[in-house]
Amino acid sequence: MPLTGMSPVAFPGIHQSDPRQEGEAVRTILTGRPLLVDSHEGWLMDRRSRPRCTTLFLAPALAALAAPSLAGCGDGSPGPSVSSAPRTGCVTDFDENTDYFPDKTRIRDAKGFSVEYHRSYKVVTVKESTQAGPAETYVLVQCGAPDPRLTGDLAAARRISVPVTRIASSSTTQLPGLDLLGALDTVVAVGSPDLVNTTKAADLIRSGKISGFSNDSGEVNVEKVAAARPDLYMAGGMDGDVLSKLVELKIPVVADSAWLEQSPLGRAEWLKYEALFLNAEKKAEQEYSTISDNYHRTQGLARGAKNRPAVLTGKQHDGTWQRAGGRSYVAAYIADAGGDYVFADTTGTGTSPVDVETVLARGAKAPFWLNAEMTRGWRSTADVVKEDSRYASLRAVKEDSVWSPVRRINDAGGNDYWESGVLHPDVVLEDLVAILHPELLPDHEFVYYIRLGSR
Amino acid sequence: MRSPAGPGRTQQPAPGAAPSGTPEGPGRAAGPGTAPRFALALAALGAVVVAGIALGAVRIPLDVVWRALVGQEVPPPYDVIVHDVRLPRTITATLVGAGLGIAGLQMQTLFRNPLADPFVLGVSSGASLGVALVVLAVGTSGWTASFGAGLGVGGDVGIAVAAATGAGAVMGLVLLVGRFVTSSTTLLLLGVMFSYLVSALVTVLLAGATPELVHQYVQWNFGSYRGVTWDDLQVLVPVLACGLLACLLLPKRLNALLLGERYATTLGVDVPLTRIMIITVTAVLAGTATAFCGPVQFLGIAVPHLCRALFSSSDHRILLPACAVVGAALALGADVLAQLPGDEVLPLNAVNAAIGAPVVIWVLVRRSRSGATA
Amino acid sequence: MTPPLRISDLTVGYAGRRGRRAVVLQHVTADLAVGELACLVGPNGAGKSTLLRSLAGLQPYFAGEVLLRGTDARALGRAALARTLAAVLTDRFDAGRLRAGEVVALGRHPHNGWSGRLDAADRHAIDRALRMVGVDGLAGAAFARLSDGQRQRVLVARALAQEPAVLLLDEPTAFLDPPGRIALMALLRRICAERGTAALVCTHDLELATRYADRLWVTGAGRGLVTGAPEDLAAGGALTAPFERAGVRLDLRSLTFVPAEGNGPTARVLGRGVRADLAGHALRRAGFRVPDGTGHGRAAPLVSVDVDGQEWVSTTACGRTARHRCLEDLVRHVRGIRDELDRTGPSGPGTTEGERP
Repeated sequence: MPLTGMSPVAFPGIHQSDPRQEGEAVRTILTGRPLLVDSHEGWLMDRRSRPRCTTLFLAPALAALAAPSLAGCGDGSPGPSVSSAPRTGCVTDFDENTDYFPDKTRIRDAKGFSVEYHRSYKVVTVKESTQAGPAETYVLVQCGAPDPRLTGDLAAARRISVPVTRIASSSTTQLPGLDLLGALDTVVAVGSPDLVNTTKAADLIRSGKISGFSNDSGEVNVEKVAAARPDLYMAGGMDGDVLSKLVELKIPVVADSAWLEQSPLGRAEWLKYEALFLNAEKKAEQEYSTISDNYHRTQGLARGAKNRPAVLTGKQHDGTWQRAGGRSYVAAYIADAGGDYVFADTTGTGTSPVDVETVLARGAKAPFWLNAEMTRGWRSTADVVKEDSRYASLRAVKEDSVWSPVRRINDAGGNDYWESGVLHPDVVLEDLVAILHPELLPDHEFVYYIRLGSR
Repeated sequence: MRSPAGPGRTQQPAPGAAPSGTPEGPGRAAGPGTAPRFALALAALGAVVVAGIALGAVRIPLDVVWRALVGQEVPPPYDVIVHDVRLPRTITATLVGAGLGIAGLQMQTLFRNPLADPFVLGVSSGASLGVALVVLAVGTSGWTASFGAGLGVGGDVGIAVAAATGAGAVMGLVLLVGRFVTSSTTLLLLGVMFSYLVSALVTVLLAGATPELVHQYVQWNFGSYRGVTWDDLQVLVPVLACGLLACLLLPKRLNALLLGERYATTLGVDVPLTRIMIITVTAVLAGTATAFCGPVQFLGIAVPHLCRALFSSSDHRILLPACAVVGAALALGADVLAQLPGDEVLPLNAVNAAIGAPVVIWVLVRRSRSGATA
Repeated sequence: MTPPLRISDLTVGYAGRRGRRAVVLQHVTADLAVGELACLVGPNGAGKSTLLRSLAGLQPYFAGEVLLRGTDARALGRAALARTLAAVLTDRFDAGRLRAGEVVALGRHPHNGWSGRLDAADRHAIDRALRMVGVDGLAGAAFARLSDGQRQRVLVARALAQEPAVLLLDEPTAFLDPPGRIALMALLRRICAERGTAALVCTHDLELATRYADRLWVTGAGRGLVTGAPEDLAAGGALTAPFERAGVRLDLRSLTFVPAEGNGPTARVLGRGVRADLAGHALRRAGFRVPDGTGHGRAAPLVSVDVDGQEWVSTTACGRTARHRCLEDLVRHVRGIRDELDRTGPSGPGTTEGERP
């Protein structure tokens, strides 16, 4: 069975949804030797060479290597440019003069990625693949087109065949975008299925079409990823060393650094990044334009407000307050919503540990306290004071104006604010404006934010 | 035959020794230098206490601090800061420092081991296990979310109780097994092994936790006096005060233990009872400290060595109060220093060790150069 | 008068494996009188230390009674026991920065109150103890810096500060040099005499024990204990059995251990005095048998040695004479004669079996 270079579709005989069926023998493509799936470990072991297999560290790697990556020797190397049997979106008659990407995306607010179009391939660059990490470049080749001959750095860049058809998504933030692009059917695995809020995705998970591959602590189980046979793995920023393992297994890994964007619109614009892999740029442009226009409209509304109330965020643990910097995501939201973040003059883009005193000094008089407790742990301001009596001195607590974006949390604790909220900053901004300037949006129904009651 | 009047191998007597024939006499606890050294230590403690209330991340003029202390009207948030942040942390650091210093001294004497510290019998592991388990008891759904609430809850006596219970349980286990063990060294090793076992359990619990919770656990491990509120103090102060007072009963027994357990027995000391007393008091002091402030490292092992050097004595009638005063001063001093760099706060345990370790190293090297063992 | 220590039918031992008892001494009955210095002697492993530790309360005993000043030791509380009985053990401890005076002051533990404060009576007892032992000049010195001998004396002073009726000492002379050993035993003698304290010293140094002890308690004959004055025990043979071993015998006249005489050739030392004794000593080491004056009926001596002024004169059986300025020279000479004799045979050249001239 002919294969593309990357995808480990070397196990066609394995039952797709349950890789752990015991004793299921499968023939590999090249070697013709039967492989056994060992139910205990999910490892694929060569029946005859089982004792030898124990010396090989990763059995799926063995199986993948036994597959026709004989032409491959390491990650990122171009595989044979044989196209698979007709797949959706694949080109059958390649014409080198055709521009296969008529809809080109234009990036406006996001700063973390860029794309360069060529006729049959796109060069996508992510500036920070991990926090403070190096940039990564991917070459997205139109399926059915031959591999482009590239030189220099691009020669070693990861090649991905687009449009992808089996996505492994390691962060729930990615799902609303895929949903908006109508591509949830391409998702085959997610990291934490319990935490998913996106309705359609949750249904697919429940029906077994999407499997999970991480445990509670966020640790990615490589075998489970491999078993889902994805042709794209979108990293989540917390995957760690797992990524190199996945690359070793010839699974195309791409970074998702949306969370490093410091502007709300910038984060939402990563919708277009996802679209690049699906050849869905047109839809992405449309949706994003809507979001962006809504956002700017609300922002303009807020600018017309009479005052800019002070806003405090975060909370303390053991006497240390994780304080968001003045150039952080949450600070941007507050500024755009017409508020005055008490630490707007600081320059950090993340959070830093500061003393309780510092925060009390500036935040004691702030009439609004946002994003303090991001779980359902606080039901009322009484809970707040019970946790630490010093909070009682905050004006926001005294006036019962403590708000947290915890209205949409599922039973397992997954907060939709971090899921659809990232894709819809316009909705979040409306919530914020309604909090800070209720007179501007008098009949607003809150989507993400909820006010802590006084009891 | 050597003359009995000769001083032995070295030609000069040990520093600080009272020569015979002086009014002090050979049996008195205090040498000529003890009282002034005590005065100095108390003065240092006083200075550090003042610093603890007057200094902090936010600059507050001294007269405002004073007015806030005596209860006069002071613009917020200064009143909250002085009264609810600085004062509690000063009281906490003082008591915890004293408690850990004394507990460390007792452990070092009981086990005749200069490396022993108050947590050597598993107190801090037991406390962390208690804290971790309390969270699980909240219920499986959403428990991960509550872990953070659990750890960060200062006003919730439940967490402190859990930590203290965990610490007590581990200590109790050690004591129980220790009844069948005659050698204190074996008991020490038992405690260390229990510590490892319990830490393993905590690690397993953590492995299943989300990264946010792991981060919060790590932060708890840094140790902090600033998370303690007045509600917490209502428990912390009486318990630690009782523990410190109980130590007044111990100097005589501890001194006898310096000669070893067999000599102590011939002196009439009930060694098994003494062992239990020491371990119990240590559990109370260290367990309470850990429950409210996280595992505060370094003080327990370093303060006794510092005091032995500063007061040039091994007599517990001097050392116990000395460790209390020096421990308190060191603990609070480190906390004040942790704030100084600026906006950001350094982890307490890091400051404890960074400041204290060089001092102790200097003390030990100087002493070892002069030929003594510790 | 009630003896300070009376042991009645005592059985001591230790817990062996699997809870079985290993009895080391049984049916021990002995008394220690006021002011008496007794030494507990016996070969290694015969139970001396076990008995001492049982008496000190460090180890339980299996059966019998221990009466201290007439009261059963078990009926006494810990403090009362500590006021009656003090011990000097072999334990080494890290004294830290304790001064010698502070170590001695610890001996007042069973006498002073819960706070450990020393009153006038305490200080008086400490001073007395220090002076008695002769270490009052060392009171301010760091204990850890004292020499072994000084440390031992300070520990004795500490025990004395307890003002006990009975002193128990476990191998107190073990780490001391010979003069130090004698000094310590003399000190103990003086303490017993002047303060009326009864002392039981466990030691493996029999020679020291026989020299200083009023009575010996001897272990090593089965599981029992034999007590008596050293000379009586020697005369009665109680000392020979536990101590004699192949190649070693107890010389009853000097009550010292000497190597058992082998089959070496005999040498005779004429003359009296120190130089003659030294010559005899050297010859014995060279392997010769040197009878004391009363040796008769023995083989004729191979060599006779006489003292002449600063020199020694050796005369062989066949009349060869030589003068020696030092004993080393004498020994070499005499050995040479013996070796020559061995080569040629006792009756003359050519008759030694298997050897060629």
